[in-house]
Amino acid sequence: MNTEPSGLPPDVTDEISSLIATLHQTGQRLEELTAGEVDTVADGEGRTFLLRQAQDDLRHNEAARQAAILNALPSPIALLNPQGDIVSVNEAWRRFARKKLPQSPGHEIGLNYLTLCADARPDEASDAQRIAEGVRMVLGGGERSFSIEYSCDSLAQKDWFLMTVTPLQQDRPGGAVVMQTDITERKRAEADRELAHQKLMEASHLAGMAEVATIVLHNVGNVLNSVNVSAGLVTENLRSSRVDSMLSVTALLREHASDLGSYLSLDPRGRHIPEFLEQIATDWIGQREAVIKELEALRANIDHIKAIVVTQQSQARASPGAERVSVAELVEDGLRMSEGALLEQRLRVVREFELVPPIRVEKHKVLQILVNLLRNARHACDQLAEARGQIILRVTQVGGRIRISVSDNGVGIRPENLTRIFSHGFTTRRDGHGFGLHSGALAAAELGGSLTVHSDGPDKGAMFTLELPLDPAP
Amino acid sequence: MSRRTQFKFRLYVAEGTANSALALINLTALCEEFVAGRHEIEVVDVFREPKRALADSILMTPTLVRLAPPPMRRIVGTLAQRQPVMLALGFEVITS
Repeated sequence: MNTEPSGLPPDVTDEISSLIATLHQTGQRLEELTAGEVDTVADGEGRTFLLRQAQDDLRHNEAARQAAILNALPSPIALLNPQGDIVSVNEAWRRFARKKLPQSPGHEIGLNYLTLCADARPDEASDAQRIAEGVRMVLGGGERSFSIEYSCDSLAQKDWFLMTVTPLQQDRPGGAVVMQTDITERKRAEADRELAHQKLMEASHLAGMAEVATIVLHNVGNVLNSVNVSAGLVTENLRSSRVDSMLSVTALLREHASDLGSYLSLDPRGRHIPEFLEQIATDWIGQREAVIKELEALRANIDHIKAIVVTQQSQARASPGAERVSVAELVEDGLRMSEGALLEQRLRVVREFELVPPIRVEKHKVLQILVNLLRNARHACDQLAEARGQIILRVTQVGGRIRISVSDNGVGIRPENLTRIFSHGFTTRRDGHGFGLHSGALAAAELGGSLTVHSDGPDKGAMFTLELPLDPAP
Repeated sequence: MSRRTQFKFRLYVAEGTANSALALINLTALCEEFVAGRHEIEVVDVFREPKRALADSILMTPTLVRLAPPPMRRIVGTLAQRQPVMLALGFEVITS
């Protein structure tokens, strides 16, 4: 069949030509009749016909509106057709392209975005490849949207962008909108925050270690006091010993060596010697008992020091991460590390431990918190009369969480301070640095738990509760 | 016509086209000038509400229909020619 270049049979082409001629004539006549003052005409059945001038208006308005909307947006935006060709960009995109690639014509209209990605510089190739894949998915209708954060070194500084690609039409493939959002500020703020957090964690870790070290030194110091007293007593005991008088007895015996028998039985002084020896022996036995007792106390105290140091060492041995521990033992360890100070203040310690399963936790962090809480509780009871202070340690299980609470009957906390108590730098003690509870709360959060406080007000005591997950998320 | 007469208009337009836009601009200006505070204008897009256009036998846009005061009148076009439009709408020309 003979066909025209258009691919249509000649008779069809002819008919089309003639119809168009009629259409033009009709349009022209309608415009003449309406004197150019009318946009649409309709027939009696309500079929509306848009006159040519109005058609042009509409097309122009649509394009102008689209351009205006795109230009009003501060983010660089490009519209892609289904093949990935850039069909429209806004002013921001032009500026972005000029800034990013001053030497190249930029990502301008007519270029294919997928080809541009394929031609990316080697250092940006992996991002570009992922972007191309994402764009392809959205264009093909496989994804409803695609976004990626990428950095751009080609600019004077390292800049970050969030690129989002969304389909132009939601329900069928038909091009896509590519939008770049400058997120450099956000990224920098994130990095700064991360750095600040790290510094804070380090500082809190150091503060925690210092806290534990202070307690250990305090406890060791207390025991050393007893050691000193024992050593003094032993020295005093031996110094007051009547061992010197043995020398005068032996001198007398040597003097009367020839008639020792009659000297001991007849001489008025000699007759006292056996009695005297007996007395010395009795004294010595007494002294020996006393010295042995003191030395035993000394050894017990030294053992205590050793225990304190060993407990601390076992915690400080850079705990290689979470381990399975008994909660009660953990609390006891905390108590042992604070024992000296608690005893010194004659605080009553009450244990109310429920039987709970062991937990997987970074032991040293929990101990750091507990030692801190015990220290706070002790300070809270400072003003109470001798032997009136009481600390209650409770271990309970609530759902999938373990609660360790430390309650005291001390000074309590004002309601307005309850919310500030965990803030960095908050303290009511003259010598406090306001770091303890803050680092405690941070450590609790790191363990996937929490540290909370309750107090009915001044002089009503306080209860701090450390909540830890039974099975922290890996 | 009384100074208290209320005017009610319905303007049929094809939204986004130049003549329709002109008609609305001209109508608003005339109303503000002559019947300020006692007029209502309803704009109907024939593409959005073709049935209403058909019911009112609107064959072209822009078409202005004066609904009140009676009788009903229609004017086709951009309403650019002041004198005939004012006359057709029944606006009083205030001569000083």
